[in-house]
Amino acid sequence: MNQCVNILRKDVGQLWPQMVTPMMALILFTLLEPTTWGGGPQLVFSTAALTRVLELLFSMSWIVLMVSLVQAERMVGLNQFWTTRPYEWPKLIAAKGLFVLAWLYLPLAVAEAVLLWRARLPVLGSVPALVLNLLLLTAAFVLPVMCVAAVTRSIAQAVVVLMIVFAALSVAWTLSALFEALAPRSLAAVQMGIVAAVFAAALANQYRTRKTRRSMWIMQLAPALTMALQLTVPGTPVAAGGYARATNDVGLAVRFDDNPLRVFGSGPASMQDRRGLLRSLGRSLLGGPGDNVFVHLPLLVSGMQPGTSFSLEGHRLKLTGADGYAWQSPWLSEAGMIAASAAGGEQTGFAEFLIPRKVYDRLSGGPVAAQIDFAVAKLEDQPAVRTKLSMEGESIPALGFCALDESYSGVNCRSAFRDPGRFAVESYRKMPCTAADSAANPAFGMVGSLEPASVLPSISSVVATGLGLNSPRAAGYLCPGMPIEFIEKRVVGRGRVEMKAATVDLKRYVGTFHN
Amino acid sequence: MISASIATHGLTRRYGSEMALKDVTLTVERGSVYALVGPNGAGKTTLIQLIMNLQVATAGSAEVLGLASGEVRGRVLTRIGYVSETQEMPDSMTVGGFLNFLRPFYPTWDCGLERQLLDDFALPMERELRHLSRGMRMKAAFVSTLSYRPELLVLDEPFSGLDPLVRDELIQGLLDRVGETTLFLSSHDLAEIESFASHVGYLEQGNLLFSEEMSALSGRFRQVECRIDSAGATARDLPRAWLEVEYAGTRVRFKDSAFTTEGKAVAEIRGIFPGASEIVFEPLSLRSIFLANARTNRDLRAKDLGAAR
Repeated sequence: MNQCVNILRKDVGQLWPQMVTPMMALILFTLLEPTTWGGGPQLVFSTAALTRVLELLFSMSWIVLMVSLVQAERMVGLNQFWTTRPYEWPKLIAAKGLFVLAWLYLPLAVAEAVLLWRARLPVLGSVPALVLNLLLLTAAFVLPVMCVAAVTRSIAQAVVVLMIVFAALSVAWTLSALFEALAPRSLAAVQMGIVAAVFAAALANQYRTRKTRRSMWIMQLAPALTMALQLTVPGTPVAAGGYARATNDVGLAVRFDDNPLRVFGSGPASMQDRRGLLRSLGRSLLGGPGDNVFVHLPLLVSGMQPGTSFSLEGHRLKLTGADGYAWQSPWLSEAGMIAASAAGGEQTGFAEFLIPRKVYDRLSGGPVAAQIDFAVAKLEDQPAVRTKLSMEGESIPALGFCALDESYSGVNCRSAFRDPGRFAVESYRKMPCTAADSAANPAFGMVGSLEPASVLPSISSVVATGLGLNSPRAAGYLCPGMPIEFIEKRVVGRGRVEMKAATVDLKRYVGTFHN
Repeated sequence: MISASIATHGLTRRYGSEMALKDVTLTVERGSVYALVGPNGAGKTTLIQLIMNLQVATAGSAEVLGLASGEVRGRVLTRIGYVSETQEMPDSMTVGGFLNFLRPFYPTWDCGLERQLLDDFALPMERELRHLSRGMRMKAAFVSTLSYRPELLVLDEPFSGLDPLVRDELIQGLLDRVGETTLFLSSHDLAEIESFASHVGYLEQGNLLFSEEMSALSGRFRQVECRIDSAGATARDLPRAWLEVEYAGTRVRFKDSAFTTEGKAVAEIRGIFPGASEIVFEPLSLRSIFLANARTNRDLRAKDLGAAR
C-alpha cells in the first residue's frame, strides 16, 4: 500500500473524534448563515452572533485538529517512533496535505457552494473565487498553523507560538494603515504570497531535516519581510508607477481655491479622508504636532464629464520658496471620491498635508509656490440595469443578487466572496405603498467598494450588504414593483493629475486635519 | 559485501561547552552482538542517536550498513531496527493497529514471524499501547521491529526496568535472531549481556575506553591476590593496568587489566613485590570488570580535581 495512503488512513483512524467538532460547526454554520442575509431584525441579530461563534469554533477546532495531525508524527525531539521507521518526508507531508484537503478544503468548498446556491448566486461562475479563497486559506491559515505545529512539542506550546505569529503578522499588516505612503495596490497580495512562500519553505525544511531552530529562523522571515516590504516599497516610484506619468489625460482639472471665504469651507467637500482613526494614530506615532505642521489647502475641481467620477488614491505636495528652496512630500495614500455634480461647474475640495516644522518655518515667511500631484482612478458609468423592487430578488450582473427586505426599508444585496465593485443605486420611496407612483420620492444609495479585494480568506462565500437608499425629501417605504436602477462605476484607467503651481501664504492654511 | 555493520571514526558530539562524546572510533562486525556499556551519562544514548541519524555529529563520521549515518532515513530504515526504552509510541493505537500500520512500510515483513512473536510474548492485540505495562510496550516494540528481519538491530537500554521474566523473554527473542542480524545494544544489565554479547565497548564520560571481543576482554582481566614479604609495604609505582589495589596486612589484592599468561603476570608481580608468594588468579565477571573500570576512573578524576584545586 502506498505509504501516503497508509499514513492518511492511520491519521483518520486516530483523529476522527477531533474531526467531529469542526464538521458539526461547519454544518450548523451552513444552515444558519442564510438567515442572516435578510431576515427580521431580531432574527438577524441573534443568528448573526451565533454564526460568528460557529465561525470561531470552526477555526479554533481546526487549529487543534491540524496541530494534532502534524504532531501525530512530531518533528521536535529525538524519541518519536516514526523517526526510526522508513517514513519518506515527501510522502509524510503529502499524507498530511491530503488529510487537510479531504477534511478541511472539501467540506468547506461544499459548504461554500451550498451557501452560494442558497444565496442564488452562480455556483459554477464562482469557482475561480472559491479556489482563490482556498488558496488564501492555505497562505493565511493552513501553512502557518502546520508550520507552527511542526516546530512545537504540544498543542499548548503550538497555541502560544501561533498567537505570537499572528500578532507579529497583524502588526506588520497594521503598519500598512499607519503609514500614509502610497502603496502599490497589489502590496497586500504580494505580502500574502511572501507569507505563504516563507511558511511553505519552513515547513518543508522541518519535514526534510527536522532542524527546528533553522525552521524557526525561516518562519521569522515572514513578518520581517512583510514589514520590510511595507517600509521600503510604498511611496517610491514603484508605487506611483501604477499611475500614468505626468499627464492630465484622465480629464480632471484641479486648481487652488484662493477664495478666502472658502478656506475652511463648509460647503460640500468632495475629497474626504476615510481613514481617520488609523491615520491619527499613525501621525501621533510618526511625529506629533510639535514636529510637524498641518496644512489644509482648498481646491476647486472641474473637468468631469457626466457619467464620470474619480477615486482619489494618492497625492504629493511640492513647495518652493521665493529663494528657490524646495520641499516635496513622498507619495501619500489618500482616499476619497470626486464626482460630477448635477449642477455642473467647479466643485470645492481640499488636500491636507503634514509638513516638517523646520520646512514650515523656512517657507512660511513669504509666498510659496505650491503644487500638488494626484494619483486617481477614473470611473465610468456603465449602462444601467433597470428592474423592479421585489422580495424574490433579481440577479444584477457584476454585483450579485439583490432583494427588497421584509420591512421595505432597504435592499439586501449578496455577492460572492467579496464586496462587488462600486454601484450607484436609484429607486423611489413612498408612503404608504398603496399611494400613487406619482407621489413617490427619488431615493439614492451606493453599494460596493473600490478598495482592492481583501487577501484574508473567509468561511462564508456570501457577502451580504444592506443598501439604505436615502431620499433627500420625506422618508417612506421601498415598495414592491417600484423601479430600481443599478449603475456600475467601473474603473477604466488610472492616471496622475498635476495641479498647476499656485502662490500661497502657508500661514493662512495651517489647520487641523479633517478625519 | 561489507564486513562492518557499524563503523565510527573520531565521532564527537558537543552540546555547547559540554563534550558528550569524544573522538569515538569503533567497529561492529557483521553478525556480531556488540554491547555498549558504561555508567549513566557516559554518552551511550548519544552515540546510538548519532548512528541512527537522530543527531548530527560535531566532528567525525559514522557508517551504518556501508552508508554515511546522514543517509540513515527513509528506505534505509527498512534494513535497520531500533528500540529504545525512551521511545514514544502512537499511544492511541492498539497493538494490532500499530502492527497493521507498520506492515506496509517493510517489504521484508514476515507475517509468520510476527504471529510467532505475538504468541511467544502473549501480547493483547486489541489493547491500546497507552494501556500496556512497560514490559508489554517493550514487547510490542520488539515485535514491530523483529518482524521485518532487520540486518541491524540497534537497542538503547532495552531491558532497563523490566522484570526478570520479561527480560528473559526478550533476550530469548533476540538470541533467536543472532546470526541473521547484527545486534548493537547499550545496557546496564551486564549479567545478561555477558551471556550473549560477542563484543563489548566501554564508554565513560564520552570516551570509549575499550572496544573488543568479549573473550579477549575476559581473558585480559584477572582478580589477583598474593602474599608479600612485610606488612604495610607498598610499591610506589604500580602498573597502570592494576586496578583497585588493596592492602590487608601482608596480602595484596588487585584487578589486572592486562593479563596475558600466569607466568608473565607472576614475573611482573615479583618485579614489584620481590618475594611475593601464594599468587592466585581468578577470572572476572563483566560486572566486576565494569565496576573496576568505573571506580578507578572515578578515583582518578577525584585525584585530578584535588590536584587542580
